[in-house]
Amino acid sequence: MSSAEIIIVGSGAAGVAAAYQLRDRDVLVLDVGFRPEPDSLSGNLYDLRKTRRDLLADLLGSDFEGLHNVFNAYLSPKLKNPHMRFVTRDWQTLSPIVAENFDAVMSFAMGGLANAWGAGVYRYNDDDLRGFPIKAHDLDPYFDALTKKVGVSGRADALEPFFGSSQGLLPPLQLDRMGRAILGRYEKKTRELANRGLFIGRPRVAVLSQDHDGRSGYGYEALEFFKPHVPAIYTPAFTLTEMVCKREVRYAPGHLVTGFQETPSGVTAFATQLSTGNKVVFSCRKLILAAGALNSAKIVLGSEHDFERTLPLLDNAVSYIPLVDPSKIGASQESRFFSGVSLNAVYSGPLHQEPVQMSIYGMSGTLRSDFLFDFPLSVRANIAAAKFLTPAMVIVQLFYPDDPRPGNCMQLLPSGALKLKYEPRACVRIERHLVRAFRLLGLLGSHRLCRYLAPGNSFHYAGALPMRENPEGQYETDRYGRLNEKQHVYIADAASFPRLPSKNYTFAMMANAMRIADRVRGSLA
Amino acid sequence: MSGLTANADAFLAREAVLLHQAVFGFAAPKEVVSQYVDAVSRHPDDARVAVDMVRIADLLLDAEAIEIALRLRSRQNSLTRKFHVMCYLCETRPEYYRRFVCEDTRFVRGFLSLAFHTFRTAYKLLKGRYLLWKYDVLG
Repeated sequence: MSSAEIIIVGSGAAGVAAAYQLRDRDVLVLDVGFRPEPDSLSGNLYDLRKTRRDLLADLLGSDFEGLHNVFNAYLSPKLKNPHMRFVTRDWQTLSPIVAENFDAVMSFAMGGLANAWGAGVYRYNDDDLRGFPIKAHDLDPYFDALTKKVGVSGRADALEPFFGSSQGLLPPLQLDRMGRAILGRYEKKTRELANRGLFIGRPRVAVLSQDHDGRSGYGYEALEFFKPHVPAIYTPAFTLTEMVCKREVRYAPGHLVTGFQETPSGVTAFATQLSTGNKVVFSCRKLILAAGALNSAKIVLGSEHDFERTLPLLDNAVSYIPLVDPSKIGASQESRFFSGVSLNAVYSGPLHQEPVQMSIYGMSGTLRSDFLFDFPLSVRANIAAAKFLTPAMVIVQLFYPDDPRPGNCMQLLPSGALKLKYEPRACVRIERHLVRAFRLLGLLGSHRLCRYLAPGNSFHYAGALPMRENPEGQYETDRYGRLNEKQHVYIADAASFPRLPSKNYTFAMMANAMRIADRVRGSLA
Repeated sequence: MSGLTANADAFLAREAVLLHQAVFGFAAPKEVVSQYVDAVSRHPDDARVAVDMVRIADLLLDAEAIEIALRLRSRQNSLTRKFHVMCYLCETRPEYYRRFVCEDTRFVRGFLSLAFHTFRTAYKLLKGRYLLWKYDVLG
C-alpha cells in the first residue's frame, strides 16, 4: 500500500491549485493523466496553411478525428481537433454516462479540461457568491496569489466593477482588427450602451502578454485551436510538471480512483491501475477530491454504494449570437492574432436578475469548414461567405447562471455509470435585446440566427456536493469543503459550488481549492 | 482488398469527383479523391436522410442544388455530410487556400460576390426542389 500525508485526486485546475498550495507537504496526486502526442505544428497557422502540403494529419487527424462534428453530436472545435483529443480521450470508457438532455464531456488528461479552456479568469465577487457560505474576501488572497503565479493579462476598464481588482495584471493582449473596431466604437458610446445595460472591456485571460515566470509571452501564431500546451496559455499541467520536477509533489498517473473509506487515522483510497487492471490501495491522512464535479460526485456515491440518492446538477446554459460588421466585409484575413476571447461584455440591466457575462470571439482561429454549413446558402456560396464574411464576423457567447432545480440531477447506477438528467429551464433570454444593443456598435445580426447549445456544452458542471454553512446529510460539505459526516475527505472542485453564476468558474474554483488546501494544512497541525 | 470493398471504394471515388466538381468546378486531384474515400469509409452512413448518390451520379444531377434543398429540409442528410467532408479535406490543402481565405482586402468584390451567391442560392434552391420532386434520389 502506498501512502502519503495528503492525496489529491485529479490534476485539473482545482487539483493542481490545491497541490500548489500544499507543495511543502507530502502530497501525492493520483490521476489517469493522458498527455498530448508530439506534433509538428510550429509557426503561424495561416502561413502553414498557405505553404504546407501535409497539414491533413495536424488539422484533421490521421483518423479524421477533426471530422467529428460532421458525423456526430457537436463537440467544440478545440476539443475535436486531432492534437487536442487527448483531453477527452477514453472518458466514456473510464466513466460512462447515461444522459437525458445533457451533452457531458469529461477529461482524464493531465491538466484536465483546462488543456482546452478559453483561459478566461474571473474573480467571483459577493454578488457571484450569493448562496455560498463564503464571501469574496475569503477568496481574494488566493486570487491575488494565482494572478501572480499564472500570469493574467488584462486591464482596468468598464468591466472592473464586475471583474474586480486589476492589481497585478500583465498588460492586455493585442486586439485583432475587429476587437479594436468594437472597442473604439464602444468608447464613443459608453453611456448610451450603459443605459441598455451593456458594458464591454478587455478580457482577463491566463495568457501571457509578456514573458512571465519562465514562460514566453504569446506570439500571436493563432495555433491554439490545434496545438496543445502553447507555453503562453496557462494550463494546470505546467504547474504540476514544475512541482514534480522540483520534487515538491509526487504524481502517479495511470490510476483511476474509484472510491475511498475513512479509517480511524485517515483515509484509504481505492484505484484501478490502468496498465494492469489491478486494484491498488493508497492510504493518507487527508483526501482531497478534485476529479471534476461529475467524477468527484461519482467517487463519493460509489464509496457509499449509494444507487438511490440523486444529487444536484448545475450547468451554465450557453448561446451564441453571430454578428457581422458590414464595413469589414471583404477585408483581408489577419494572420497574427489571438484566437481566444477578444473582448468581454456584461449585461447588467432589468431584463435579467443578475449580470450575464459574454465572451466576444473572432472566427478566424478555426477552419472555415467548422462553421461553413451554418450559413443558409448553397455550398459554393457558403465558401464565398466564409471567405469574405469571416474577417467581418464575431461570435458573442453568453453564459447564463444556474441554480439547483429538482429535475436536474445525477445518480449512480449499479452498472457504475452516472445517470444525468437535465431539463433546460425556460429562462429569460436577452439575445434579442443584445442584438439591438450591438447594432449601436455597427454590428448586425438577428436573434433568429442565435444558436442555443444543448445543456452540458459549457463544460461548467457543478453543484453535486454543495458547501453550506450548516451542512446536512452525507452529501453536503462545510464551508471548507469537508464532506459532512467525514473527518478527512474534502471536495476541492466545483462539485461544492451551491450555484453557478454567469461568470466562468475556473479561477474561482482554483482559488477555492487553495482555500480548502489551507484548511487541510491547518487540520493536519 | 475484397471485391466488395474495391467496388465500394470505386464508387466513393466517383462520388468524390462529382462532389468536387460541384463545389470547385474542376476535377479533383487524385490525393483528394483517395483522402475522401478513406474519410467517408471510416464513418458510418447513418444520416437521418439517406441520399442515393448512384442515381445522382448516373443522371448527372446538380448535386449542389439538391444539397441546399435537402439541407433546408433536414440538415442531417448524407449529401450535406459528404459535401462537408470534401470541404474539410480541401481546406487543409494550400492550393485551395485562396478559395477559403481572403488574402487581400476586396470590399467591392466581397459585396458583389455575396450578392451574386445569394441570388445563385435562390436559383439553386428552386432547382434542387424541382430535382427532388422529379427524381427519386432519397434512399
